[in-house]
Amino acid sequence: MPPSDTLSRDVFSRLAPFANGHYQPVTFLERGVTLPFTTPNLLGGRIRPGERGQSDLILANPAGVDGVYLLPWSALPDLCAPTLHDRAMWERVAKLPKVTPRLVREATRAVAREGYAGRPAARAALEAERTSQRIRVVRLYALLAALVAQAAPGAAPGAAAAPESPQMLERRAREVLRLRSREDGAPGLEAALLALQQLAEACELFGPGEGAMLPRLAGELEALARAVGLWAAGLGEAERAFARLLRASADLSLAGWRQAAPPLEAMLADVWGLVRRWLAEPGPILAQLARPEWLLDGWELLIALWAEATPEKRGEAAREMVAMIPVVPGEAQGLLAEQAGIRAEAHATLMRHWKRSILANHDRLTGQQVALVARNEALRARLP
Amino acid sequence: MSLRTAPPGTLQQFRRLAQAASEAEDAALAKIVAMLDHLDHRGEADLVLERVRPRLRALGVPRRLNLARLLFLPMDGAIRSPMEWRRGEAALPRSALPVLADILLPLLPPQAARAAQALEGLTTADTGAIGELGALLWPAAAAALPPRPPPEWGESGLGPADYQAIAGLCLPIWQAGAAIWAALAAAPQGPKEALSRAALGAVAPAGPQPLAVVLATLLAVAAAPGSVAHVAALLSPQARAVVVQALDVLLATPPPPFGKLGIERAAEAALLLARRLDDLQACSLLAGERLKKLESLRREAEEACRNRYLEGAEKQVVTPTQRLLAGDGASDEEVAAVEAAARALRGLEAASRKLGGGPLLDRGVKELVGRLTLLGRGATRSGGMTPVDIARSIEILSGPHAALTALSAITRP
Repeated sequence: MPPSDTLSRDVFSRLAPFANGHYQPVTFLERGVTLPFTTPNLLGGRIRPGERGQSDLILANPAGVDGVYLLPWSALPDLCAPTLHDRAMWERVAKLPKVTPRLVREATRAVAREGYAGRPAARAALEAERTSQRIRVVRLYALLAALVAQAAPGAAPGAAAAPESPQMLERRAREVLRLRSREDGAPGLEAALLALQQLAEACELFGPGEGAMLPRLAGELEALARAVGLWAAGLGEAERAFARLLRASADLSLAGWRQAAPPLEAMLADVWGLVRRWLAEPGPILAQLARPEWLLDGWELLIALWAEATPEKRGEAAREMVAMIPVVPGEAQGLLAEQAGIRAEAHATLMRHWKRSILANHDRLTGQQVALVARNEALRARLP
Repeated sequence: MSLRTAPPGTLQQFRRLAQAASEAEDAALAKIVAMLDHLDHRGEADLVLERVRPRLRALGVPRRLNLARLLFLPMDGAIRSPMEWRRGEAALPRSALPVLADILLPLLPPQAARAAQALEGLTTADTGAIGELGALLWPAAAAALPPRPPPEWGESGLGPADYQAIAGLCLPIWQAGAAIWAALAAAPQGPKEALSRAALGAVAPAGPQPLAVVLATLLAVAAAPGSVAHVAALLSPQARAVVVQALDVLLATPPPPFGKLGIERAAEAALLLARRLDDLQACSLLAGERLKKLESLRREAEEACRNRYLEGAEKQVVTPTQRLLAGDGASDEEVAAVEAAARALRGLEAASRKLGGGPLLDRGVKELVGRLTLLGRGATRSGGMTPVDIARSIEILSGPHAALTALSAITRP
């Protein structure tokens, strides 16, 4: 018999062997990358590298209580009947050479573009791809402008160049690179240009010029914590505890973001140095650029869930969100130990409050499956 | 204006409106009803409503509140059209209601008269306000009810003896109005036995007829009519006969007109009916022939629901899909409309299953999926519906496994 496409007691029994009640990842990689699942059972699920080259699927406890389930990636279709979208995503993500937020985003966007999560999500994915391409061009010209400004006598590092045509900017950048190539051990013009193009791509989410996604996401996260706080202010203790947990967790991620952003800005200010280091060893630069993505991973889904919920549905949204609040891994907690203590306490308090209400509302999850998939597809369109 | 005085042109207009109302979609019908409810004296406009009354009940369209409507809410399940009403039965003819309200209005004490004015702008959906205002108006109406028919009674077209009979029903029911309303307001949750007992127990001493009226009203809307009947039967030895008679009427009442309801509303009505029938099935007062009637009612409802499903699938999924495949393009909005219809149908299918008839529904869904799959194999025009669009419709209607199989069949060379 095929697995049920409803969240039944069956799912709980299938999940039982994979329960991991004391889930506390040490690294971001161990925490995994959030996937935009549309199957209600899988919402908020993450992927992470597992043993013997296989990936793991990490699912929040469907009852909304603390703890997660860790499953082999291959076990997903046995757990429930995934939507067409999730099955296509499952197949495509399994082929990724490694798990990073960027690679996962590109793979899942390709699936959405094929229409498996509906036309609005497909359109949003297509639009996001176009925006990506446009931003990469913006980044390239911003890097060229910074390179030119850096080379100008008396210019402050990172100073913006005066507006000029792209052709003129390119010409001046080539001049700079030609002069720079005469330095000891410096790359040639073509190699440096190629490096700049690759850097523009690597800096898509955070870099010089407009349209940076990560600063926008950090702003939206701050707005979410504020909105949830306002919503909960006039409500009961459980809601206020949820708002405190969200605030504390958001503060942790935002503190991490604030720590990670300035070094990135400093790195990007020295474009010529960056080009040379990129050509010597791109790995460390990619890792530094990826860190804020790892830090903020998972929050987009919560922001979308809250945005999609009508005022009367916010209590339900909160119940779903609580199990999906990104856990801060040990490696980041080391830097933010004080706040982590607050978070752990808030989390424990919150779980005591919410466990009862989640179980009382269990029926909401078992019914209306089709409507929940439609809601999740609307979330998918918000997460291109 | 009354039926007797209406000019022929007006009557024709009302007949046309009645025809339009019976064919209107749910939302349009609600608008027509709201418009008619704003007439001070509907008179012949009732012709329009008479044809759609069962559908109105199933739709739960909120009605404008006025004194007549509020006073007779505790008797709503026993109101008949003048044509159907028979002397001596525990029921009220609709034509008497506005006349009685007009008689009572000038006789109400000031506080109750102010409460009657406060009804302006409210509807039957304002259950809290009904409880508050009714608590003043029902007992005030009982106290003000003239012992003999006043001259205005003649406008109802009924005789003096009818007045005595109708007033005899109204008096104890209005006296117990607050308790009855508390039970009626809680009907979607059962109501709880204590509420049923308080409502029915308050009118039972007045005799079998007032009890029958209140019982019919509660049974018509209760989510658990079997439990209500059980409570009523335990009130007194005489009450049992009233209950059995009321259950017979209930079992003879046709199911909601599923074929005339929108898909979402049909699904809601089916869910409610399934719950009511399950509750009746467990009622110890029903046995033998009555249980057979109950089964027959369930089958009738299930068949009507299934037919509504198949008709909806044909009109709102298959036909638009054919059209979008044959045309030059399919806009996002057109595809979204097909998907929305498919979601509503899935809800109706789930509700129909609660009424029984699973294998027949399975067959219907399977045939539908087969037809869509065949249509999908022709999905080659660029800009039109894509194979994935069609597979998504199938996914909504029948789940991911069916969609995966269909997509594979659609895209197979």
